[in-house]
Amino acid sequence: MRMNRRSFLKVIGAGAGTALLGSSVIEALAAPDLPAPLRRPASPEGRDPVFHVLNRVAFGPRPGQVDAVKKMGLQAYLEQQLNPASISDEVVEKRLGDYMTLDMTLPEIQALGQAAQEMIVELDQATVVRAVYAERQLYEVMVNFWSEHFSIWHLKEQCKFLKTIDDREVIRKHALGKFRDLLGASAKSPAMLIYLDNAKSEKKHPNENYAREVMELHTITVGNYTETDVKEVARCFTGWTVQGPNGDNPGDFIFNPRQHDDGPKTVLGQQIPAGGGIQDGETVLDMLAAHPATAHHIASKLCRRFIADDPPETVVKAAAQAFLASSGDIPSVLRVIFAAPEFLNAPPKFKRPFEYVISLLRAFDVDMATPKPGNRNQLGVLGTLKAMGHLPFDHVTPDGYTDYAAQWIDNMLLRWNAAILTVYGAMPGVKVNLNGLVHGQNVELTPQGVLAYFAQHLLGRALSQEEQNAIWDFASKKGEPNLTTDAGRKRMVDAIALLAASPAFQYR
Amino acid sequence: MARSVETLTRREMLNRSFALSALAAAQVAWPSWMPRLAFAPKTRAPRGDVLICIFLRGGADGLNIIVPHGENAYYNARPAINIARPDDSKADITNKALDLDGFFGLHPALRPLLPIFRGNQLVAVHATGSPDPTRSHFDAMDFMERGTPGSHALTTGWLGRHLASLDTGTNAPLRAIGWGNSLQQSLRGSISATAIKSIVDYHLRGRKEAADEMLAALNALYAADPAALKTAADQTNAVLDLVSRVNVASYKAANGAQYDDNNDFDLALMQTAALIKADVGLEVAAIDLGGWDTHQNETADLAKELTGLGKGLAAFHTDLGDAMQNITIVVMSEFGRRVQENASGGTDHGHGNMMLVMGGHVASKPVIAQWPGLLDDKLINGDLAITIDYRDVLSEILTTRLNNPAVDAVFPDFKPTPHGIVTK
Repeated sequence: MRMNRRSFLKVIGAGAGTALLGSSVIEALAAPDLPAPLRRPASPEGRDPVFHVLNRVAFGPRPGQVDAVKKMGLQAYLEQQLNPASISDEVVEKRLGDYMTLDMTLPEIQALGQAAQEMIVELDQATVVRAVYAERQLYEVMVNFWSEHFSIWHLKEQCKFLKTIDDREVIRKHALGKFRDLLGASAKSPAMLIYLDNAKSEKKHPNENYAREVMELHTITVGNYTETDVKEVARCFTGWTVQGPNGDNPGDFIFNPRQHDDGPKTVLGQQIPAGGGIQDGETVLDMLAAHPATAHHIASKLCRRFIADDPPETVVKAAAQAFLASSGDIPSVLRVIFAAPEFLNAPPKFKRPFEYVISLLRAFDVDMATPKPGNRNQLGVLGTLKAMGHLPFDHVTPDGYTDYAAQWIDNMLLRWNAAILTVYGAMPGVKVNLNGLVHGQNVELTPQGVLAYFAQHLLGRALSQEEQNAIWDFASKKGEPNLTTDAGRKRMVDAIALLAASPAFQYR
Repeated sequence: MARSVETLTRREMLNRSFALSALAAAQVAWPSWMPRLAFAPKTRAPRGDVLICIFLRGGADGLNIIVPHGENAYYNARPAINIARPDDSKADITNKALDLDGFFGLHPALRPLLPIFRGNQLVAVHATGSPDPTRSHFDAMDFMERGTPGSHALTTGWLGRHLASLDTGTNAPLRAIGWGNSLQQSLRGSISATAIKSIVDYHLRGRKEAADEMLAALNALYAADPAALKTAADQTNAVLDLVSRVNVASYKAANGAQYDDNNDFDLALMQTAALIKADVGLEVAAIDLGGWDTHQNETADLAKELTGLGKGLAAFHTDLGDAMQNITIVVMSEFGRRVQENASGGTDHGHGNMMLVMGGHVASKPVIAQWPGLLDDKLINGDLAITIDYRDVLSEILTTRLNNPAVDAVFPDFKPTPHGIVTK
């Protein structure tokens, strides 16, 4: 998708004060002929807190998972998720066993020749597989968050190959670590150096692209630096480049002193003396990582992801403070967010396409195929994500996919079809076993029992009267479905598909 | 490379967003599907031409498409990959320009379009494009489609704003289609623009026998939803309903026109033709064509792409016949390519380019240009200069053929100049 969903909200919310955000704007601008407010009712009656948490901290519950987490206790679950090393992930590792390129170094990739073109598919599919199957769900949610924050477009030149390395060495290495480490790894990532053109920045004409975006998008945001700062930061990063084919380690980061502008610089009011070499860039990164505006920016985005499009300023402030106090320790910030009552009481949030699709795949306990080189037939999930405009690493511009869920409200057909195909087991590359699921969860094998199970499992609650009417009306069109007949079972599957396509399941 | 003044303006624009009042404020609060100009009064006007926008992705080499064969500098700069003069007896016919007006000629692979030029239904505009100096594909395409060179600020596109600012009184659910997987940036901002890969595939999946009942059940579920999804669902249903009434699978082109079934471009044109003839209220269609980034092997690759473009457009033109009186097709690309060929038999990213405009009401001369020439001192860093802003071309089409006077809403901060490209 060539869209840039960059929005004013992000710009305004970050710097100029929050008075314009939230329902006050919507009410102020509301005109009689416009639809009802965008907000859903504050908290649906009887929403299960564990269900809610598994839709925020994870990509939605797998069958039986709500009960398992209840047994463990919510606090224990959260602490465990904040410490992914304590969780085994053999299941995912086994599923990714045949994905050859994920762990490759650049020389190994180059040795593949033409077959390296498969890397994009492998990384995309592995990203989906991990989101679906990982026990380290919070870790995967954060990998998704940081991938979009430090967004890189897969198709820019060698990013086709280098993004796999970036995913491994930058995002996955530091997703639940310290922000300064993540920022530093990103600044030296060959994929980022190429994507934002710093690799070709020259002493005589420093390239300003990375310098601008590292401030505007990755850290302090617009309004907190000047155009002169952009130029000076660009000077600091001259020489930060990627080794060419004749280097010792082609494709790796290298600091090239001959292209580095070694004069004195002033960045955000701070003097950087001459002769600093590579330290100039490190100093800039230190300053940006420690800047209160960065803390506020990251805190806002995290609160947007975990709480609401317009998160309450109290939690944002608390999270920003935790960021500064812990020197950018990401789990410390998350702990503060998860402990806030606003997190537990957060209103439902529209699922962005990636979130919707993964939640479907998890809810129905699917079995996903491993892509075979040259065989595109088993990649229904990737095709669906592409059609919905949310294929990982496919956002062209550096601002990445928007975290404003409401901006993704669009044509519903793709979502309805994704739900129907998944439930029917007709999504290419995805197998589903509804019988196994239903038996494994000891579901009462009557139409009402099955519906009640899936309502609780997908929506975290019983059906409302309107939902019940709509679905039962459909299911019993030809009389109450007889689950011992083929026709009856088909009707039931249709009804389950309706639930998965229903408005309530579009929210998390 | 240094960014232009317009990039600084982007910074200012972001900061003075409040001053843009209705447009900006509307973008602050609304989800992507809501009309951005909800509070700006719409112009009421009868429907004009159907507008088809074809975007050649990759920076199509305008100098080899509408060839300035009358200029020596062209041949000096492109010894290996030039298109020969029309009267060059030593040149191969597959590489000889078809003369248009004594100075400019047509790439021979576009031969099917020559009769359309001669019939005064096709005009080329040259030395045109977006003034932003970026040579980055994604920035250039983005700026062009948003209609704001130098700025990524607006989340809408020029076509989306055109649709949102014009009330044609039809209330059609499908005023615009973006052919392909996802809606082109140019169309964003209009509730009645939908991305469709193929009309034949645009239906609810699942068991056919249950489809109608499933849809009814979905409608009931979404009608009960207190939040914003009801409108999205209604729109989806309206499009599904419309599509089901247009039988594209058995569409027969008129006048002996032949589309190539195996090619997405032809299929998009054909489905557009079907929708136009079915009179369902379609006003705009956007089609993408890739493969134009000819850094190497340009002679063969460009000929191949142009063959496809020419055949498809010619088939559409034949198929629609007299209906072309109420259709305008515009072909554009994000930038042109450098005047000087490179060392790999190709050209690198440039600036000024050509556009094509086809329809029953275009200028009666084949080429419109304020030609700056290709001498070094007239080039911008070795690239063709732009003397006609692409927004001039599009504004003229919108006001003259689509009855939309609100081009200030479509192209903010821009005053268009007419060049007689289309006629009333």
